[in-house]
Amino acid sequence: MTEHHIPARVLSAVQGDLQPVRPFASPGRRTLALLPVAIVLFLGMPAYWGWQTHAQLAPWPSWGWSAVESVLGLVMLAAGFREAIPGRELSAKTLTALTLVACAGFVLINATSYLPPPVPIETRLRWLRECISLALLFSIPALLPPAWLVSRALPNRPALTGALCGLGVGLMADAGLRLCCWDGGFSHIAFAHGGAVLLLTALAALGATFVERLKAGR
Amino acid sequence: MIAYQRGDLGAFKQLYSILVDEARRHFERSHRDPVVAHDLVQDLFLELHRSRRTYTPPLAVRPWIFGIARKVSARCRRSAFQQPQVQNLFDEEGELPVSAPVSHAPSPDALDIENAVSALPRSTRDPWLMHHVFGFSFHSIAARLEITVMAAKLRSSRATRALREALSR
Repeated sequence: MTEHHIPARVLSAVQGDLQPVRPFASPGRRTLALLPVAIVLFLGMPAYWGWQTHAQLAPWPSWGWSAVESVLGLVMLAAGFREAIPGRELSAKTLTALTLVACAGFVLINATSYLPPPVPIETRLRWLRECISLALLFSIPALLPPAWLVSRALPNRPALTGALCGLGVGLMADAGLRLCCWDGGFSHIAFAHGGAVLLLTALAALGATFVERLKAGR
Repeated sequence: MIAYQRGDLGAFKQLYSILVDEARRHFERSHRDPVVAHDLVQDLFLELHRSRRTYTPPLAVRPWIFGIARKVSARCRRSAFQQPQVQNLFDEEGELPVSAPVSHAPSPDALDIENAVSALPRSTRDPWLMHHVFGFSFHSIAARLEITVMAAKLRSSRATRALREALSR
């Protein structure tokens, strides 16, 4: 092996900060660390809505489907964490498969509770607003732990990494939201619940891009 | 890599020796300019050092390092792309003027300086002139010359060192 001269700038930077570091845990383990967030979204949202309105929550089979949706959200988060590690980026095929699974999961799980209520359009519009605001109220704070974990890594495609994390949190939020939602119509599911998930995905993608720009400017 | 994560400087030096040529070839392929490639290799090892915790043993080290190399390349391109290209500093031949436009004959000292500056390679002369003569910040120089800020500082400092040597003879 040939000896190479290390430039003084590099050597002094390395020598100046050479304390031992603990390597990152695997994406799976970091996702498991976010299990409490999934549980809070899953149980907290129906509990909060039940306490606020004394409304009847969804029957038990729906809770099982919501648990499946939460797991799907955690899988998306794990994919985001993996994407954030240099050299471990997901292939186009994997990304397509993940997106399809997320979309199919969202549609099928929400289709199990299909029940358009016989109420006037004004009420349905109010429910739409309530669902979006409830989802954002819980999921924006829930987005912070994954955002912190991603910001410590070095994503090559920050927008994609953020979008995967946003999608994951969005699905986890929808898992709780559908348990306390009164409107099971397709239009409500698509615009209110799907809209909230899309909004979170876009927000997380923008946030991750912004954080990476800030890191690059340091 | 594991020893390096534990804080072993020798392990970093070994890693550097193993990877520096490969990294330089990687950047030369993507950027063509050897000076830019040289600067990007330094940026790569600095970024690698900052992000060393993101490596998860026992995975292969090379994909991780070249993942960081892609990031460093992309940052360099983005910083060049985002800033407006202002060319009005350069003359018709695309060079920065070394001599100041003066009405009277320059002093012998001024001529010495002018000759020493002209003798510098263009890659280090331009950042030096832009910073010390035209008063641009290194961020601005980096944007105009499509290089990183660290590269601009490094080249300007190289030029200063070369000028000091040339003028002390």
